Amino acid sequence: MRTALICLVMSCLAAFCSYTLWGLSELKTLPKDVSRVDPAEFRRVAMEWIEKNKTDIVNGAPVVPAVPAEEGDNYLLAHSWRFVPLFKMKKGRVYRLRISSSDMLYGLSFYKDGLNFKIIPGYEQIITISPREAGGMPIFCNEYCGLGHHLMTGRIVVED
Amino acid sequence: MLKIRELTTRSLFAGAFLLFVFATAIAVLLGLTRWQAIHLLPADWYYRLLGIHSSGASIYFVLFFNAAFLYFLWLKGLKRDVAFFGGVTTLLIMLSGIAHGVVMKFCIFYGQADPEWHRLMWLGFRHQMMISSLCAAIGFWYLLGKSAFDIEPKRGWLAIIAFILLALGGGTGGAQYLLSDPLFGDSWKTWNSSLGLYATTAALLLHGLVFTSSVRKVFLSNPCFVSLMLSACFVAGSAVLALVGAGYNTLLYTLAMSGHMHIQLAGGVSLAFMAFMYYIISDRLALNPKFKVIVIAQPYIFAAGIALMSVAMIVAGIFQVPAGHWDITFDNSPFPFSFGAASHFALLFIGVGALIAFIGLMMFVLIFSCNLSLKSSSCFSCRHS
Repeated sequence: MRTALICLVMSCLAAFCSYTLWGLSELKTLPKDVSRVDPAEFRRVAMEWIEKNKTDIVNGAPVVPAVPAEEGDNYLLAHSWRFVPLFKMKKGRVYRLRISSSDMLYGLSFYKDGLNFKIIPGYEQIITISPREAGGMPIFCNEYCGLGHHLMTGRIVVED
Repeated sequence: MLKIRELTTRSLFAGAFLLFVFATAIAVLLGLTRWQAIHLLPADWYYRLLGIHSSGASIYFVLFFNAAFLYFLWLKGLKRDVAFFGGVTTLLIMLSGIAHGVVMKFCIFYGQADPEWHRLMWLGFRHQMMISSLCAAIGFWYLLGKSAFDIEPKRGWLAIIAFILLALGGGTGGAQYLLSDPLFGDSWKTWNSSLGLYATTAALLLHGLVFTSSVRKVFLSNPCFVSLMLSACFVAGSAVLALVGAGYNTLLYTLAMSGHMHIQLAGGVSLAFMAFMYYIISDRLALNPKFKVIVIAQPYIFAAGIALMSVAMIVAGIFQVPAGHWDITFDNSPFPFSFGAASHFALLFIGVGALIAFIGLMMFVLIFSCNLSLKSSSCFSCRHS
């Protein structure tokens, strides 16, 4: 029984080192395609980029033709239970999205492909996507974010 | 001294019972809201009650449940057996979880906490609280099994190894909620989720096998025994449903996560708690002919409701339905879209399952409150040894 108790304590310590200590050290060394950013600054840069490139407004959301990966990056901002902008993309082209939030934690789900990501305020991540079929690709928030959680939808319009 | 002991016992058991009933009863309102055809609550009340249900069941009830288990273990006299080892495991994991929670709260009060740091600590706290309740539930199998039904684990050393594995896997299990976060590296995600998956699954299967293989006689009309056995079925039977592995988790960070959690907690832990409550009122468990049917049927009905609800959550999650969401028709959103008929069909069964479980819960409350008012022992007892 004594040996078993020692093993139990060692197990708890191993779990603590593996999950907590290693996890804390992970926060210092960010993975590729993730960087720290000031939420207000990200919002300012994203909104400026959206204002400069928008071609239309649909249901209150600015419409921006996305820039292919070889030409540059696109900004997707999550704030106040909205995703901005509404992107127009071409089927089969590759796009890089710079994603962050300016207020709180959100989720980003691509409905048709079933992919889920977290959008963390203070961190900017780059996601590379390539639409496979034409039509509307719904996106929505899948992390509880407050009273407007069920209103937080967006769309990527994919053209042939 | 006797008065203090009596007061502590009553406070612990009454606290656990009231929190259990409160948190579980709220669930039916949430289930009937997610059933899109009924959509019972308005958005603000849905989110408010969801928060109360979630923290009430997975933090506050767990605290009382674990304390009740540890206190009851102490009351029964500490013997260095499997249940005792379960008690030590429960205590260690719970203390580790609480330490995460205290550090998290302290840093939030005294400075700006990084959001990802907060998530790491919060899940370290919450997941370990849930795992500690699982340990307490398993501890109850061995404790009540031995006290009431003379079930002595045949290979106790296997159960002890299983508790060690559960401490290892449970401690890292919070990582499965962070697998779709951008910050943590692949090595951390793979190591923690793999370690968590293998260790926890092996532990729960071992416990299920050791406990059920030690049963020599079954009492299918005894609610205490049936609750214990159904708890073992939920905990061990759903062990492989852990949603880990970065790719898999990125696809299924949906209502399926809630389904996984509800099978373990709402199924396994709740039924172990019910078995315990049946055990402590077993001397006064009345059995008049009308009451008998309710007493015998109660654990089956509750378990059927939870099983239906949890499986429906997993199915809806496979169709990408998000967790904690008030309205998946997105009616008032700027870009509405539909999840399709199959998702709504699965949500219907969440509502029906929650309703059946609620009926089971009300039967439990009825049995418990009626029997507390009885003074003398009656013709029905849980103790068969």
